[in-house]
Amino acid sequence: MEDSGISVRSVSRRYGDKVALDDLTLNVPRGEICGFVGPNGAGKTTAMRIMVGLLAADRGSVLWDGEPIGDTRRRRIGYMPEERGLYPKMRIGDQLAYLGELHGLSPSQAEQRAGEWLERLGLADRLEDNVEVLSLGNQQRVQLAASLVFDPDLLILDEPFSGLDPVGVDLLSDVIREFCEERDVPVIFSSHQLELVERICDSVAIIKDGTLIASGLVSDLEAERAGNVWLLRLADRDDWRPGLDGVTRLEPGTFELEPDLDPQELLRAGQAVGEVIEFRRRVPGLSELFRETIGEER
Amino acid sequence: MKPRRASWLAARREIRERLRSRAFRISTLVQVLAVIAVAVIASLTGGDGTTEVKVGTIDQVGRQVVRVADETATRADVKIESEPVSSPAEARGRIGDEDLDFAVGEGTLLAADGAPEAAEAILSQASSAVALRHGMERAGISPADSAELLASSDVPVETVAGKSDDSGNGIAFITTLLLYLALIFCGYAVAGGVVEEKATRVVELIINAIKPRQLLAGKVVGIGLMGLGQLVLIVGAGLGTSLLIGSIDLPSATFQTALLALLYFGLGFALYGCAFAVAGSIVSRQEDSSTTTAPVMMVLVAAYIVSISATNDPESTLATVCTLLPPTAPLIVPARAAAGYLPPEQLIASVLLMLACCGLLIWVAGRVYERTVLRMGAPVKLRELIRIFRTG
Repeated sequence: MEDSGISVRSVSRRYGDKVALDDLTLNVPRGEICGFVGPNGAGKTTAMRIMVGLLAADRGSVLWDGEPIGDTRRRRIGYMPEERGLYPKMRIGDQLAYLGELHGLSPSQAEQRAGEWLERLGLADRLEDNVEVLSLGNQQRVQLAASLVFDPDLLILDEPFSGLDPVGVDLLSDVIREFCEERDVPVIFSSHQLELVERICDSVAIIKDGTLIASGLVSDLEAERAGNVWLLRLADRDDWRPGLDGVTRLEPGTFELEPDLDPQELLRAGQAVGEVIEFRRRVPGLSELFRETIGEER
Repeated sequence: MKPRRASWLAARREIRERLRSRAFRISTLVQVLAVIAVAVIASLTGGDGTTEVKVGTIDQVGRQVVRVADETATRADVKIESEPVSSPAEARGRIGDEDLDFAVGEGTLLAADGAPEAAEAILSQASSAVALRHGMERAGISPADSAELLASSDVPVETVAGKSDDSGNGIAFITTLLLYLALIFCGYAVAGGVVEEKATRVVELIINAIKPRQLLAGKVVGIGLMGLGQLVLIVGAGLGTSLLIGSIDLPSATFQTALLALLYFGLGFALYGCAFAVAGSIVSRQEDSSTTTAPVMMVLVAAYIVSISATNDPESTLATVCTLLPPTAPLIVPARAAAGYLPPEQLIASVLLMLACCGLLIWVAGRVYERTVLRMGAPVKLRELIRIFRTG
């Protein structure tokens, strides 16, 4: 296991009789965005709260660059809770500056950073507004700013994109991506929007029932799971079956080949009956991967 | 970050947000205006205790009576305005028209029905003195001798200060009420603030940066300072108005009472503020907080009722006991000082007991708060609270 970044080591946690996390192990190195996905109740929020230090683990540990997270390091974690946390009746500029100061910035620094982040998140003209008058989407932008205002060394975001419109999603994901790359910090975020995770994450961790069931770089996982499945489309012939041994038609135009079978044979068979307009390997997307892995476990 | 700076940041936020809040500014203004109004009304109705009477002088003797009466009247806070009337008949008529209160001369003293008794007594005494002097003159005693005789009959009066002074009771009542209201307002502000932070989950961001105890201390200190500021403004407005109008004789203990009120607000708020903070920290929603603040409120209301009755008799055993009990001390001690009976040894014992109790409660509150502030869901049960202390 790598020492850089944040590591969750064999962490378990129960709530009464219910197991929320069971021996969860996970590592996110610096400069990497990890998408944390899993069905509802899988333990994502529990895991994140333990990483941030809001919750104690029953067993296991959370390490940062190989060392336990103490008070000083904990203060360097940017966290965005799932249920948003801001003072409803406080001005957003004051609020961000306050959080900045609590994390050790000087008053002038804090004020400057608050202004900069609000500018970057498109809220420069709302500085004087109370949180409660903002739309939910804008509140979410402020919430992200709250986790970034003190230049954290680690970013843990619980469902940062839920309820955002596409413009908001693009803006927030750009900001997160940029921050991760520029500051070389690890970022962990949970989401149900798998296409989004696929688009912005370097790696993904799929958990279910408190256990990690798959993790790694998105591209590796996809390649690993790709199998010998091919798409072949003929002009005007949707119902074509190749009649080859070791080839199963999954659906019209999609064929699963036995592992040792050369896909070129499928192509030749197709060309023999008509004009091939598409031929490529089918790589499963993250959604498919997610459904497959969750299904396998079931 | 140093703990003190962390707490100060939290306290500063409370202060700034309150100063920015229109509700806070308006409520402060309303209270200040109310106190000023009370002071003005008191001076108008109670006046300065001086009674003004109009006396008609029917003849030379009548004018002499008024001159003699004037000396005593000043001492008795009675002001006599006199004007000559031509005859007893005119005097009767003008008294009947309520134009005059009294008329003297021709061997009689005419008094309006319901005229001030003190003035009547002074005028009647003066009439007797004048009649006596005329009698002595007729008996051949020289004016000088008769003046000497009359002077020797004056018995000097020595004023002995009593233990309690009734004039302080009004101040005592107002002090207790103000302290009671201030403790309630600030207490609810603390409980509400703690629940707001929990309900909105802001606390999850803050606890990431500073320790729960630092946040609690900051909140209580911030709100307490604002409450103290409000109290200083209100008390200052009341005292200032009274002094400006200059017509109320403030009891001598008033300033001492004001200082004690501020001290005991501080001590009382440390106590009740912590209790309200705990009440707030064991729930997660505003709706639930009324259930948990109720016991604290009950103690405060009971303390208020007991203190009011003890204030009426500041020398009673009840008053002494209330002075020593920390929940009642903040309400009764300043009131007893105002009423004029607060033995110094009781004051010292009270402050020491208060300090000890505050220390204990701050420790308890910190402990409960740091274990409950991140708990969401149903209110924390009493059994669990006890466990917090058993298991450590």
